[in-house]
Amino acid sequence: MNVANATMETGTAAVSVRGVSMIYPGPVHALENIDLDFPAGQLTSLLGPSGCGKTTLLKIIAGLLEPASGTVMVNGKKVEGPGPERAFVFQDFALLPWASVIRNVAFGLELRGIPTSEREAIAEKYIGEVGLRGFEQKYPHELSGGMRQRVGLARALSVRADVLLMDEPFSAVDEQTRRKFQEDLLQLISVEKRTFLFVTHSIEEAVYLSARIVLLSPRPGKVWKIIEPSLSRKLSPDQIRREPGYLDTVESIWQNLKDYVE
Amino acid sequence: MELYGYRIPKFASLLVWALIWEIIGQAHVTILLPPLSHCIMRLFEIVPTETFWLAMGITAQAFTLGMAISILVGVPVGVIMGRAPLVDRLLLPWVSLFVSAPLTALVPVIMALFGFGETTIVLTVVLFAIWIIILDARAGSRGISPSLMEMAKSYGASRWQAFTKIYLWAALPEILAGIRLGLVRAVKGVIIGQLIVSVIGFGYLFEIYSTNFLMEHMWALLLVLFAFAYLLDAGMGELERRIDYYSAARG
Repeated sequence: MNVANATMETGTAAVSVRGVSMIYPGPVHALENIDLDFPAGQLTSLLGPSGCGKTTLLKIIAGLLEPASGTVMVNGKKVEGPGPERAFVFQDFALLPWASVIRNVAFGLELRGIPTSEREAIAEKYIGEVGLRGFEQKYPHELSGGMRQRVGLARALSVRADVLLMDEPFSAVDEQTRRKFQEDLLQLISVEKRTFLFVTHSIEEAVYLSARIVLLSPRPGKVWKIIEPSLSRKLSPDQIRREPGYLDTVESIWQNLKDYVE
Repeated sequence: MELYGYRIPKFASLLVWALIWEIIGQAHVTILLPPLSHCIMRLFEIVPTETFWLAMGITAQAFTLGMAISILVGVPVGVIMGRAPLVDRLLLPWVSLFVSAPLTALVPVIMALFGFGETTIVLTVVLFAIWIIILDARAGSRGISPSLMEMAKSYGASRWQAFTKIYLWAALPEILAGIRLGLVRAVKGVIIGQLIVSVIGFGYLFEIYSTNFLMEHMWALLLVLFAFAYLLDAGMGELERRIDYYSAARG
């Protein structure tokens, strides 16, 4: 386990956040002066107790919220709203209930005016990649929670964004499904080579999935610690979960976070 | 419902009331209520006539046109009201006022402005149907889940795309409920309009029947109209049930 510096050389960063603060009416200081770099081609988790502003930070990077101050750069370009180089995966899936799986997956492309046959071919590919082949013509209400989120993930992959922003994507999914999904996601990251930003409140999930974990402290949300779990990704999923390195990292994060939990 | 162990079908009460009607009619209690059997016989006599189909055609045309205007104007206005607070502030007082106002009183005003023709009937239909359609479309678009709107935004939907590809569909269950209520009100509108104008369509027939005291004819015509309104309502109800699966899945 390594504790890295809060900022690193910007050359490898897909997303860099500089001096971002967020104040909600109240006033609630949700985020205070966040400086962060998210390395390209890896999964970085934002981890912290509820109210630490991790989802707020993700939505600022997505361009869905405007920060009170500070800037976000994605691939060297300043974020001024949502953009095609970023795609969002929602906690509650945000699927169109009246549209089939394939239309949902292709929806981002449909909004960009890509012809039906072309966008459905792309959607097919990612439906296969997330393990939903054969479910193209089903509707969201016919799928389990885990499968719905796979649709949400395939939609984000289909628009071919460099950066995938995932807001607690597994929190509405039951435990067994979540574990399987986490394993599949690791597989996907190694295939897709994109930058993943992952918000979670589960320590185990963060350690299991991430190349880096950003620990945020609550109210106002600040970068508190950056941890790089050193797990051998060559091991099988079950071996990783029993590996001392994995268990130690989980334990040390818990020791750090404990003080914030009543 | 069960009675002494026998299942009673739902429409049984209808038969009971039909029987009571028949008995009162046969007993000649009042000239206003002829026996049901006579009315039904009269129904078969009236329906094949040209006068009836002429009235039916005029009524159907005014009804369809008025309803089309109400939907094409009412749904977008309602959805926009639900999404744009400024428009909502501007229009809501009027919509709320008209949805509960005694609209029949306004029909003579329309008649004074647009004459005794079909325009007046069409506008009466709109006047009766549009407000509830607006209100329900508004409620539907207010209930759209915030994450669906964020999804639209983050995947780069334009305003027009968000409106046609998401808001309209997300609000569809409420929109259909509004259209169903609007249809029932439109039936009232088209008949009340014709009754007040009283020189076209069923209004004209009612005028003839009542001034000549042809009670059997009048009841026969009423039966037709009641059945028509009921079938419209039931048809829309069926359509709503078909999209039930996703009104429950939204959220």
